[in-house]
Amino acid sequence: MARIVAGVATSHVPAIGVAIDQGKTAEPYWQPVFAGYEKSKQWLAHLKPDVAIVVYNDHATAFSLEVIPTFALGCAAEFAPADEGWGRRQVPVVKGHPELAWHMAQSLVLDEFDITIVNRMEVDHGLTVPLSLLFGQPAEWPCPVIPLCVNVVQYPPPTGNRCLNLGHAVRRAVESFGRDLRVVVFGTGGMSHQLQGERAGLINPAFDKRFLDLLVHDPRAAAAIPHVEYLREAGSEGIELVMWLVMRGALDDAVTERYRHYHVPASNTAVGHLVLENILASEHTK
Amino acid sequence: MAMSTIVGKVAFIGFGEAAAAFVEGWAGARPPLLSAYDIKTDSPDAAVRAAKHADYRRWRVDGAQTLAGALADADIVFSLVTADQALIAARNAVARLAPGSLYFDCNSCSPGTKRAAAELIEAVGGRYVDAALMAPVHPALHQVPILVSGAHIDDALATLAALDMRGESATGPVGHASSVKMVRSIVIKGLEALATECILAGRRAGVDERVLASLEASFPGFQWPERTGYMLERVITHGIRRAAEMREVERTVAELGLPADMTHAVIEWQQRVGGLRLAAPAGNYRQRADALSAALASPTAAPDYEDIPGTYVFDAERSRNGYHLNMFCMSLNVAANRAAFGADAPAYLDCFPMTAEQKAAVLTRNWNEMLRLGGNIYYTAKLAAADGITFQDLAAAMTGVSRDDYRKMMVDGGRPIEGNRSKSEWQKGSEHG
Repeated sequence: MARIVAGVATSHVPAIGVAIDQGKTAEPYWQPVFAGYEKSKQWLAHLKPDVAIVVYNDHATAFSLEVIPTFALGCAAEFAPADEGWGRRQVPVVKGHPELAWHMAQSLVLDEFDITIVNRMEVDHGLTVPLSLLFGQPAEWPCPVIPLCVNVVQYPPPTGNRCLNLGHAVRRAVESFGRDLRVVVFGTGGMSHQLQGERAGLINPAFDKRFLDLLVHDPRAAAAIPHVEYLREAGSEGIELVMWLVMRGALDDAVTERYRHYHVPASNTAVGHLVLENILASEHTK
Repeated sequence: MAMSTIVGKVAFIGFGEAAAAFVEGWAGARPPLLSAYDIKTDSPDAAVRAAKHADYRRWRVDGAQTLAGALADADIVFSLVTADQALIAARNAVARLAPGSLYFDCNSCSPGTKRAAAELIEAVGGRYVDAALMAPVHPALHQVPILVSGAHIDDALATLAALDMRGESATGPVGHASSVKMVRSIVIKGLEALATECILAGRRAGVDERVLASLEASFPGFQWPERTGYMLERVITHGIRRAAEMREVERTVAELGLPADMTHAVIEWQQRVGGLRLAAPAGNYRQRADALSAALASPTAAPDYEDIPGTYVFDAERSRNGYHLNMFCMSLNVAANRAAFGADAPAYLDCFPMTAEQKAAVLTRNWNEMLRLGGNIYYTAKLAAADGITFQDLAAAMTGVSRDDYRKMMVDGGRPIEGNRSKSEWQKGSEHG
């Protein structure tokens, strides 16, 4: 049986990808951002997951205003990094896991999550920046990746509660897959940031801290945060944090917090990062 | 009263409801020199500026164009701004404060905020008084009970007495008086929120009269119907201001190491009701509850995010209006399209059925206007990228500051949430409750 062993939450700021790609990670501005990922990179290299499910949002790359799926699952064999308007990132092509992805799609729909199935899709910084942060710069990504896209661009995104419940359904889907796979789920985006309008640059460390604490210890309370509170307190783009709840929902109720990192700023954004392990799984890896 | 022998010039920072009430109460016995500065006179909105100048004329105070003008030679300063502006007001006051002047910080802030303000004021030789207004300013006016604490209690009480005001001593350091006010607010503002939720539910269920009669039996003499009508008016009219104050209460409770779940819920409710921007109807609790109930139920009510300042939520209406603008931006994902747009922008734009306004906003790179016309930031960022502008430089342009200033703001921790939650905080900032 496949099982979910751990969850990773991280921001997916495009400027982080640029800093990695241009070799700037040791510069004083960037060093504190990347320092907080060193231990989790080692942890993940040691964990060697068989598959990573990456919950992220497309930023007008694969989807436009022509079609706006609230939840979409990448079932293709591979996903090419996209030109988002400033050229393609020079990172490996992302290999999918069609067998598990298709199984998940079927399981989710029968579990009453009517997910959109995507067989051709380019992926943007929302997916590739987290891979770079956690896997570094390998010639090939070390494991297959299943993209799970959540609309957070067109208001309203799904509620936090819906995202948490999707996570529960993702877990049921993975656990009903016959092959023995160890799966890690990434929740990406956030934390507080606002990219637009006269209020751009908003950062709210108090909100972020509370969100991190709730996500770990009281995910149902985190899932109850209404959209207007994200918009007001965490900035218009801070609402991406609902995607972290999909990751959290895929884990056990009680988890071990392995690593936490928080730094302001990366470009316009408060960077947040968590590594959570299911307690049973963490006993296995001790 | 012989106040003129003791009292020199009195200055108000923030001339809203409370300051006007003091002046009204003093009437003919007012101090000889009264000045005021209110950030509303700097509003980009001419009507807001005019209304504040009208207040100055009505109460015959010397309305200064700058804080420095109001503070010049003032012996006594009353800071009466919104809770989130109190520390900013103190910071701005230090450069112009006359040495030895008494600085009454009457704002409803957490003890921690008051201590921070006190440090600033005392460092330049001002005498800081932690002051807390312990009741509504109407109908008490200048005789509203004012609790004071800090190192200058005796001077503060003497000065308040000379002004025919009701000072009360809360012997203790700065923060002591505000602790009383903050902790008391848990009940005052919380009761308003509870009564509002209770009576709305009661009206919808058709049981409001029985409920109020039953409450009156449990708490005899509270006058539940009358009080509920009054509390509804306070929440409807001043919910946003009260939510701001309760955020200070939440901070106070947190500073004391306690969970603040109740306070947090009160913030949400006060903000929700205040955010509807209803005019509280005259009449009794029934009329007020029904108007509020209808506004909460109305699908056409302004969305709950509409009062977030400087923010263009990409909702259905903006998406409909901005479809072609955004699809133009999206086309720039293709290098050949970027080249074609670069070669002849107007001709390229003509391939998209955008409005003339949208085209003009694109051609003049008016980034905020694009958002107003339905652009989404992830789409307009592609236009910026075609110009070689990063997300961060785009943010600097939208906020009207230089690239370096914006970058510095971010390195220093970003734009703070305090003072940036609601449009009223951006436009008003001078009221006090």
